Amino acid sequence: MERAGKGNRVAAQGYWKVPTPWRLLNSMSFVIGLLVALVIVSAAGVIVPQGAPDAAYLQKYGDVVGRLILLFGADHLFRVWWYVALWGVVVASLVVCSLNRLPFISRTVFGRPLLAGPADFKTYELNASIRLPMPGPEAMSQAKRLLKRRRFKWFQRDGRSEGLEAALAHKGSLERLGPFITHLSIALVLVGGMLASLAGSRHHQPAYPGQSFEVPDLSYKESAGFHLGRILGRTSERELIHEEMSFMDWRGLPDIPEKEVSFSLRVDDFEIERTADGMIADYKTTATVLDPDSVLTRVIEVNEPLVYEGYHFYQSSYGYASRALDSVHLLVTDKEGQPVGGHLNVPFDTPVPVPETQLTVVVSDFIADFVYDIETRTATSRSDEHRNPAVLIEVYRRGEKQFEQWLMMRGMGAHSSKDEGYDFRIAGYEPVMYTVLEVRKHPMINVIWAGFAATVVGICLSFYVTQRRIWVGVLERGPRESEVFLAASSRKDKETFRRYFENLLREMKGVAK
Amino acid sequence: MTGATFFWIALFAYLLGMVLHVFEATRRGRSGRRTAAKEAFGPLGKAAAAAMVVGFMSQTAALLVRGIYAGRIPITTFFGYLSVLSWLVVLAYLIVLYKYRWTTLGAFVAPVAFVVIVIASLFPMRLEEQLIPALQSYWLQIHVSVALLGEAAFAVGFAVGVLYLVKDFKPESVPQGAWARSAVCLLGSLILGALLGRLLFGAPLEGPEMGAGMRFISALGAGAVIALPLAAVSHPWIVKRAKGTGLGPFVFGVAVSAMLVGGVAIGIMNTQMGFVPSGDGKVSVFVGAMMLVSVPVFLLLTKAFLLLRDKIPRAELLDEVGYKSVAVGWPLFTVGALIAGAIWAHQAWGVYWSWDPKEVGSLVVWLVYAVYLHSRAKWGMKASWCAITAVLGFCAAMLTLVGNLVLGGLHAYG
Repeated sequence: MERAGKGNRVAAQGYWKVPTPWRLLNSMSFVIGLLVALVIVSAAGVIVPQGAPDAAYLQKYGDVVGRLILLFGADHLFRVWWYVALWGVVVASLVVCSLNRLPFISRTVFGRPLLAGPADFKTYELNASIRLPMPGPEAMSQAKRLLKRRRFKWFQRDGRSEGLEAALAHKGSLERLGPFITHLSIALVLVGGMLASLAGSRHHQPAYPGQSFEVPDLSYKESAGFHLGRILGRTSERELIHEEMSFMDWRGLPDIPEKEVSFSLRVDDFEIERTADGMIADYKTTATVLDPDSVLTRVIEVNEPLVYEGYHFYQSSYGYASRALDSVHLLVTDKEGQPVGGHLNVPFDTPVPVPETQLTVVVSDFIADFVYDIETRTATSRSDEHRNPAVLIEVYRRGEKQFEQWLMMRGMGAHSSKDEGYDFRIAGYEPVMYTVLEVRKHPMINVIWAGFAATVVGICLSFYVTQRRIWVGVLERGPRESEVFLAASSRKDKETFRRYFENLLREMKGVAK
Repeated sequence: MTGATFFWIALFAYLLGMVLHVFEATRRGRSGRRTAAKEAFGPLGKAAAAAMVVGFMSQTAALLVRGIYAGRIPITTFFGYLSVLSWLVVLAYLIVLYKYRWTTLGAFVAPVAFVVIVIASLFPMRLEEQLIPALQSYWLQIHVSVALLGEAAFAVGFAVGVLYLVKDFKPESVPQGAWARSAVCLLGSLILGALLGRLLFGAPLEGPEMGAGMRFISALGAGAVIALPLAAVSHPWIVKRAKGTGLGPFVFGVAVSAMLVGGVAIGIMNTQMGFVPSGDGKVSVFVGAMMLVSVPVFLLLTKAFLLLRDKIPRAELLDEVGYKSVAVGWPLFTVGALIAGAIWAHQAWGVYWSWDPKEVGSLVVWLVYAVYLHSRAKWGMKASWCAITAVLGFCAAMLTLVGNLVLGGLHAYG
């Protein structure tokens, strides 16, 4: 009886003759086929690496398969239009099925159908009749008492039909809402996700401690056109990130276009915490929101983003400056090779007197990957990596410059002058680190969270609540005798419910004694 | 005793339990038509259950030692994760055993637990002192442990699914010649797959120092992409005269079980002997070797399953236990793997969904069980298709679990 949803009836009539879209979307067989198709296609997207250059597919899979992969866009499968469209069909099907079943669901959740005559009770798999030596109303109230004690809700009709006094005890009717809520909330999550991918935006922002940056206006990336281009075109996520990262120069800060922004963020500090044995424990950026209305300082860690006015700031990456240093540890020795003044800590671009001498030393420049061009006599950096670090030191005596020289970490030291013969070596240096924060906006995130919450509610109702109904009918068989008819149905756990029903019967019979 | 000692005791106890269970289940003689619900424990069944209980307690001790030492649920390494998974599978087995007094199930669940704990033992047992920053969140415990609970329930669903396919099989009504045709179809698909694999994917799948044998295995593995669907499509068509006898689903159930065992065997061979070469073609060599090992395992399992048939309880009970395991597992998997994962990803990576291989793998698992639930609603429990999806779902979950070892991605923590 309860299985006959409208969808099933449509299927039984043979929709293949008139497969209107509505009927198709409502058909369970179609849904199963759709899910199987999604399983196969998504699994293929896991096996085929995503976002590699075209040539890589031709090389790895051969000419034929490689070309097929590129033709169907399986190299960026999860953004290709037909894959997105497949999920679109899922959403349509979820909505159509839910709408189609709505009248039926509301009937089964809120309806209180009663059985009209004794014959109706026999149509249920679980049914029984008991004779009780008591008048009808008393038998009915005994049944009511027993079922209410079992936390059933009681519905009883006034008056009789065919001499039968009828009632319905029910509980867990909300179960029938479960699939409805689950389906619609999954549709909500999918729609929210699709819209969010059209409107979401992100930006990688490098910054040195002490620097502040205006929070970029991400609106140009929020346009639907920009993201549709990504779906229809071939721009992969990785290329986008690459494009964003590539305009970091040696000072790290990209030119931020002049746009209207509401607030700025100042990076106060960045540090890498390590454990005693040198393993990385955490990356921490201390940042302050500079807003005319408020000032807020927070520590941003990997799992703890800063959230302000809808913008999320995540700890994304870090790096070392390639043309600046925090300080250099210099080791100065005299001509006998004896150390002078111990380790000398020289901050970048700051004159520091060398103890026990009349010299002053300044570290005025730094190159991460030092190379010297003899023809042009210029020092340049081959890369941004700290492969061959070198500093330019300038040595003064009583304010008069004696000489300047590049000192390489891995090279020989420099002699300050021939007559005094002081020797300068780099013992180590403290690099300047910059942090990279990811700035994001999540326009539809609350819709997604709401969808998740509703999904959990729907699933709990579907799986952990069971609709149980017990129909009771009482016929008067004499002045002090009545016959009680019982029929019962449960949506789940039928074996358990059978035992439950048998217990109930036993208790009903016990009432007579 | 250290945690590792308890772990090894558990591993060998599960092995003993598995062997005893299989003996008990396949023993000739007292097969009869006992109803499984009240099936009395025989001495062998009792011994098998006792071995499993001893193993379970020992593994509980191992996990406690490890957990107390680490100060958290020890699920942050592959060893820890798989170890807890095998522990949960045995827990689920003990619950079913207690509730249904059904020892035959042990012959199917014990091997799953054993296979998982053996795979766990292949990974380094070292416990990391310091979690990398990305994992320092309470969401780690929620996301991983709830997903794990779901997967343990799926393992029971898998075992019951295979049992259903074995029970559904009626060898007496298979017409003459259908067996032979089935065998020819499977072998033919394998050979054709290997040839096409060689032809289509060709040399790039072969490492520079592979011998002829290794090249053949690699081609076989590459061809599995073709051979498996080919076999799946052609098998019902070729054995169509055997329709209704359950031969097709039976072959499927045995083949999947055989490949699971084959995968573990190759995994063990690889860690002990370095069987699979690194570099190009390692995946295809692994799959090819797995398929080769599956062939003798397939024959052995067919024999064992046929002996077992009479002892499997009626289909209603199988359906009830199978459905309940999915009804417990699927909601937990939804909440743990997908929803908690998305919330954590939003917090840690700034994006709740990034189509990472493990994310898509979990989505595939979720979809396969969605197919199970819809098929059961549409066709009822009588459809062996439901059992097939339950079997496939667990396989997909296991592949997703270890997939990032090969495929990499954001979840590649090791």
